[in-house]
Amino acid sequence: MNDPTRFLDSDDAPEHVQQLLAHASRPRALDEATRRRSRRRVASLSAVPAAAGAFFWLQHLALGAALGTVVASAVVAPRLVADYRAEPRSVPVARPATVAVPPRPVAPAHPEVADVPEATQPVPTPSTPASRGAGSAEAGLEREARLLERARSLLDRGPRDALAVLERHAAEFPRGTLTTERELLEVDALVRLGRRSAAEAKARALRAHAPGSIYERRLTDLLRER
Amino acid sequence: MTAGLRIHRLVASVFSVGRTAEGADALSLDRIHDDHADFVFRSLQRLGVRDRDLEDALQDVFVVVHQRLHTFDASSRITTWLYGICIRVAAAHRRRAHVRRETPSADGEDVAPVDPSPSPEAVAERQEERERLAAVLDALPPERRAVFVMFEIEGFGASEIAGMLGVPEGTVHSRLSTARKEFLEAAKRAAERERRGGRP
Repeated sequence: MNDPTRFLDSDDAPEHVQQLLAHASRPRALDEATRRRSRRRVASLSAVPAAAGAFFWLQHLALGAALGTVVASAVVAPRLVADYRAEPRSVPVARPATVAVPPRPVAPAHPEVADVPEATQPVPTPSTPASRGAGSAEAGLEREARLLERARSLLDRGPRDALAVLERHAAEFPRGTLTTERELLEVDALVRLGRRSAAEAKARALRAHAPGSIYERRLTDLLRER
Repeated sequence: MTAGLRIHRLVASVFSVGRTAEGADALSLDRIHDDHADFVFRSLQRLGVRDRDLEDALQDVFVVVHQRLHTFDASSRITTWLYGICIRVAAAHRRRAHVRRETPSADGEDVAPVDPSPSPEAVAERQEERERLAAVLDALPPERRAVFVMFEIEGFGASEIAGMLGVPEGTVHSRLSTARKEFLEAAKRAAERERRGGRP
């Protein structure tokens, strides 16, 4: 669709309208003094969460918990039910295990990946989530999120590296809280690598065990975009 | 960074994988201010916030950003989200101005100052013209007013406006078409009032 002729350039516009617009001034840019004052106020706002302390923490913890609940109800819970049915009741409550995580072939050219600790990591034991303390659960979630953030940041310039980080997440957190997010990122990486059929298979699996997830639309877009 | 905040940012970024390359860093309040304060400042003017209220309105926008940042869906553009906040803040400022019974330019402080180098008569004349224009623009609802200002006064094309506001080009054309009609009617009413000797 073509733009209409502006009133000032139009022979049809009434004269009084052209007069009104003839001396109109454009919105002025933000001057430096106002910008500085505004920046100082924004900096003080940014400090509020630290000052608010517990409230801010609880707010975001609640957000994480809400997300975890969504994922748990969509993904983890059915698995736990399946585990419960498959395993005899006499299985003792396991304590959190610590295993060595094999180093992944991540290129050292990406320091943000290299800085993810390669040392031994506590592995969640999904059959006994309640036995873990809130602190270790929080730490596990933190590490899950950190790994996935790394993978996401690598997608553009190194989907292969991103996939390696995601494989590491899968090894460390086979039934992690952010499994759905990992699988979505895997689909994205596979599409970028041109491994279309693998991406579609992964997407089918994701849809099968997390039908109607909050990422459904993004998943559809990913497979359509490229 | 707390795990909760990290997860929030992750989820926000996963929604828009490949579109927000800078991811979480781009979602800090300071960074949003650095990158978009000028856009917010100009948008508030386009939406009819008076010069005297601009700095307060700018601050109000970033207070809302601070409070609502966790609700931002990174699958949409940050400027679209900011613009939505600007619309609400501008409306609140306009309502307050109305309650204070401030006419748009009653004391000459509500429009941008004119270049003082011409003669005092010329300055006064131009000031009066700008006040007239401000009064006519006030007849337009904020969103159509902004599109009108961007197109007729700033000279942006519809596709550029669509990009800045994050709306389809067809929506810009539709808003612009209605805004132009409303502007013509408001200008006609203002001209008639002047002919009858009333205030512009």
